[in-house]
This record gives sequence, C-alpha cells and structure tokens, in this order.
Amino acid sequence: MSKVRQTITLDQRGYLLTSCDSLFPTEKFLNKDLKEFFPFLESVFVDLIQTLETGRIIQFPKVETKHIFLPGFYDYSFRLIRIRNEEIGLQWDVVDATNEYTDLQTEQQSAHEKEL
Amino acid sequence: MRLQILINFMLSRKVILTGSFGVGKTSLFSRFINNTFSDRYITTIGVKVDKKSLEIDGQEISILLWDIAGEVTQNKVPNSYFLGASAIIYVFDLTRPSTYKNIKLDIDYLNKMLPNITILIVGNKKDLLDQEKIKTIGEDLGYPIDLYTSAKTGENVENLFETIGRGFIE
Repeated sequence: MSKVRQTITLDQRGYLLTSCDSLFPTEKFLNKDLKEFFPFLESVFVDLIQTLETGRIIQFPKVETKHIFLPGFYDYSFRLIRIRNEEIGLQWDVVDATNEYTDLQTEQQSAHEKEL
Repeated sequence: MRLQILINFMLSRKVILTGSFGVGKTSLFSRFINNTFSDRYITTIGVKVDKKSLEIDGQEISILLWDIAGEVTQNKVPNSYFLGASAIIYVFDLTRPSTYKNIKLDIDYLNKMLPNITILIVGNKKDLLDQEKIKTIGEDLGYPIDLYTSAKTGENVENLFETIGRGFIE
C-alpha cells in the first residue's frame, strides 16, 4: 500500500511557500515561519540550508510527532531547491508511516520488556 | 541573508539524548520539557523533538531537545539525527551494567563523528541505588561521569540542562 506524502516548499528563512496538503492543511501557516511551529525544523533548518549539497537528499526516518494536526510517525526528507529568482529554498517531504511504525513499536516494546 | 538567519538562531541550540534502550532518556525528556514522569516504559522507535527555554544569567536559551531511540551501540543511530547538534547527553542506567559496558566505544565514536561537540555522560535512575553503590560504579567504570540523575524524582535534571546551557553562553 502506498504511503501518503506531503511536499512542502520553504524559502531560505523557513517561510512556507507551497504545500500539497495531503496530510495536513497549511493555510494558517502560509507566509509564516514554519520553524516557529515545528521544533524539529527549527533545530536543523540552518544546517540544511547552509550545508546540504544541491541534489543531495537527507532523510530523517521515524520522526514521532504530537502535533494536533499531525500525530503519528513520519519519514522526513529534505533537499535544496531553486525558487524564484534563483534563490535557494528547501523542499520538505513528509511521508506518513504511522501504521508501519506503530507495528514496529509494538514489536520493539515486547522485545525490550523481555530484556528489562 | 545567511548572517540574518544565524543572528535569529543564535540562542537556539540542539541537544541530543542518546544511549541504550530503557535507560530513561524519554523520562529525562519528559521531566525537562513538561516536568512529568511515568513509571510505564514505552519504547521510542525513532526520534521525538520538543523545546524549552531556559534563562541563565539573564540570557535566554532555547533548548531543542532530541530524544533518540535507544540503541545498544551508537553506530546504529542514523547519522542524520546528529546534524546541527550542539551537545549530546549520553545516558546510561546505573542499575544495568549492559548499558554502560560500551561507554568508551560509544563516546569514542561520537567524538570522532562530532569533534568539538560537548558530550555529557549521565548515570540515570540514581533513586534506585544508595550513594555508596553509585560511587563504586563510578570508580569501576574508569570513565568520568558528569552527573547522576533521577528522572523519577527530578534530582539533577534541571542542573543537567543548566550545565549544558551555561556551556553555550560561556
């Protein structure tokens, strides 16, 4: 079964430019700094913009979120993109893996409890 | 533009909690972020991120805390998780020797991957042992332990993050 993916683009300040809204609506974030709403993004954004090589994708698997609008487990990936006037921006893909990782969590929980 | 970004983020720092599973990383995370504790163990399978502000000597610092799934050895943690980290808290369980038997290998690995980063070594669950036993573990370990904490009682948790925060402003 294919997983639902939301693709978001941000300018180099972290402001939301576009989103396909497959997983959560972003209307209220439009033209706002997404870093203020996502501590994950805040903690890696500067390094992604400054160190990520063009064409390279960096992945952060199994990110657990408690956001009211996005509860569950997600795989994040980022890549640099060119936006208006050749300015650099960031593409952020959020893939919903909640079902898969909830099962994994159940298995891991059981295995760890046996060892603890 | 890049300079402006740096200025805006000067007082935010990413801090990682890492170590073997079941050592109390998530409990330290919850104690610090929400001042809560639960006896129920729930395994972490990837990473959770939250933040909290501290004021140290009149300077406000935002700690962006990453709670990473416990791995028996650190080389199993995805490298991307360490991107942009300013400090690492390596947690072990004082009551389970298996959680500190690889401490030298793990710290060497982290030092090699992230040179110039602050690494604090923390023995957690100190409420379960008496002072004499904790002292013996520290001596037998042959490795300097920075702090002994209890996420359950909250002992030294605030102190841990203040120590880290102070390091950022000095």
